[in-house]
Amino acid sequence: MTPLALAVLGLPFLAFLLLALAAPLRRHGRGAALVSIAAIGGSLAAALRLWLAPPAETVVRRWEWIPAEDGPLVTVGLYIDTVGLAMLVLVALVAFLVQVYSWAYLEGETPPSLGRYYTYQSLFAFSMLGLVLAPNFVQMLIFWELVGLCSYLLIGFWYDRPAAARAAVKAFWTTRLGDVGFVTGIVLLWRATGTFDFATLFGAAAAHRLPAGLSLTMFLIYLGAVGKSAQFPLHIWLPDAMEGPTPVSALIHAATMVAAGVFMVTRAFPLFAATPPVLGLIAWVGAFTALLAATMACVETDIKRVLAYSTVSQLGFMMAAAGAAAPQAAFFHLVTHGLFKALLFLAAGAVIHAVGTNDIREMGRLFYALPQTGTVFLVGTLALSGIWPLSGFFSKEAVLAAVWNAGLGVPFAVLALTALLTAAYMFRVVFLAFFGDRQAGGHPHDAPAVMAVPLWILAILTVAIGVRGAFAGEGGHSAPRWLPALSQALAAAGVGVALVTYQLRLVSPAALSRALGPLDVMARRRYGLDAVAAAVYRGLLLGLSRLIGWVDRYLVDGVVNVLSAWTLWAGDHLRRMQTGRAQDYVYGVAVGFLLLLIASQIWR
Amino acid sequence: MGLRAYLLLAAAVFAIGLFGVTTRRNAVGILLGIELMLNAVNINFVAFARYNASVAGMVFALFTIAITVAEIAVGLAIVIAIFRVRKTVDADHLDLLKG
Repeated sequence: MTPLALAVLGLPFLAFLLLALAAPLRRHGRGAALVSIAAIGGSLAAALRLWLAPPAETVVRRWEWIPAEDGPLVTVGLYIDTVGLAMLVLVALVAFLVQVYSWAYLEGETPPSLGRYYTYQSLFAFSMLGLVLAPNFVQMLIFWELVGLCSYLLIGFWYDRPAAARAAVKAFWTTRLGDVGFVTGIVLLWRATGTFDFATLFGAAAAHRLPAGLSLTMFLIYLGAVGKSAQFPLHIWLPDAMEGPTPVSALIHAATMVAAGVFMVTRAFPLFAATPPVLGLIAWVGAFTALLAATMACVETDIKRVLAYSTVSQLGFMMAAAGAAAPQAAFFHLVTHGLFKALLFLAAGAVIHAVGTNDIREMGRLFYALPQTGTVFLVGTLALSGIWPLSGFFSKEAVLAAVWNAGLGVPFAVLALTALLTAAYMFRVVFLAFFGDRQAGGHPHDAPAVMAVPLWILAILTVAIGVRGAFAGEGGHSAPRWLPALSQALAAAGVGVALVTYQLRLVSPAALSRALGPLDVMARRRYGLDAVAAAVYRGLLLGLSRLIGWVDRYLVDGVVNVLSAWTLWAGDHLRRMQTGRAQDYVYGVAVGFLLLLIASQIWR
Repeated sequence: MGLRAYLLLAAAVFAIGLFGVTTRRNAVGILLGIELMLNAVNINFVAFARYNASVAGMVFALFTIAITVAEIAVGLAIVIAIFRVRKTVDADHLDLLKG
């Protein structure tokens, strides 16, 4: 058990070390890619092996890290349970497919640049797998920050583009803001309970031995998830993160890293369950985020940004499910979403690769030029819209059922509306880019096999999970009987709106946006949230930085400068004592000896 | 005459020598001062040897004389070398180590 889990974790790390230290290999580009792909392939094989033979109960391995008087303060180790194993397979699988896909997608890069890309990819795979396997909050935080670093590096992969560099910094700052809460929460939790360890904490939670008054602590820990999983109001970084290469968006900003926040909430769920107010907040914020992002996705014209807002929206669904005390529903949606959103992103990458633009207004009738890409994109879209019998239908229904069963009426209504909008904005993209009556310029053609195969694998998995769900029936959760019909009706309504507006052109999009009036304008301006964030950044953060800069420059440096000036002055004066004449030194020796003699007579 | 008289004489010679070393401008004069100081030591050695009835002091005095000769030989050689380079033996001008 343990050696396999260590292999899952260790292979990408070894690949990273090799690529980071062996510069000639890294600069070779293709060689670096092979090393990285081989490592993540091995990691995937080990993860699958673990997943197919899951342990009967949770396996926890600990090694002492920071020793203290009464037992180690911090341990490192592995926490292997069924949820973790499923996540492990998801991460390894998507990372593997994305790395294979990148082989063709980034063929235009120079070899050193490609090597750099795969070095970061290996580091990311290691960090994300480590996050999943972490058995305590400290180790989780370390890997949490590492994936944040990889996200920063990969968003800014094309760092010579100012937009990419800015987006990378924005992503780093925004998630860091949440992480401040995360760190504070972890420390507060440690002060209250005296441990970081999940197993110990969950044991205390199960026995109702957790100390009272943890609400603030859990809220702060939740803030970490708000930043990482792009919940309102820290969602602003995710759409900008689309400046990175498309495979990166698929892996980090759709399937795995942004889901880390949801994963953390599901992992630490016994603790959140002990603080119902925080749980309620998670559900409400999740539902609100879902709706907010969905409205913004409806007016976005960049295909990747539509998908990014859709990711924010679906993360809201997951958080809402977690807040409704149904972590298994949240996790189910996380897995299915990870697969079909990676599929959508990679398919969008293939489209961008073929037509050379991100703007859906400049695409059209691509389904006929790119039949394979079009088919898999359609599969992803149907899954995301929640159409039976694809995977998204079952996970979304599980989320809705959980929220309904928790008695959260308003969030349920909000999420239902969001489900309608989801179908609408996704089919808007499909009709505009893949059908319609406008012909895209150039001669786009389907992606090469290296890119197509990962797409098909993800598409087949999306269908397979759905079909399995259809045969297995209602997966055990007690959904109201009318829920499947409602969710199908909502999805159909969404598709209908998109069909009438963008395909049949019975209603012009302009008329629709006029009818919605201020809402449309606000959504197009992203509700001014980006502007608010920018103002806060400029005013508060840069102001504070300037203040600290002044203190450093004039107070801290000032003390050092004054000390060195005094030393120079004293040295300059003492220098004059050294005349260089031998007789003066003899005189000094004689006088000194006499003084010593006199002193010895006085203090006898 | 007691031991005290010899010691006073030695102290006086030593003081004169030290005065010479610290005040003479001429390098040869400084060497002469050093010579006086060493001879003051010799007087002490011999006086103590006489009054303690021990030969060791006299042996030391002989050693000192021998070493003094060597020292003067080296010292004068240095003075001559300096004179060749700097064209002076004035100690006030030999201040290359000035800070």
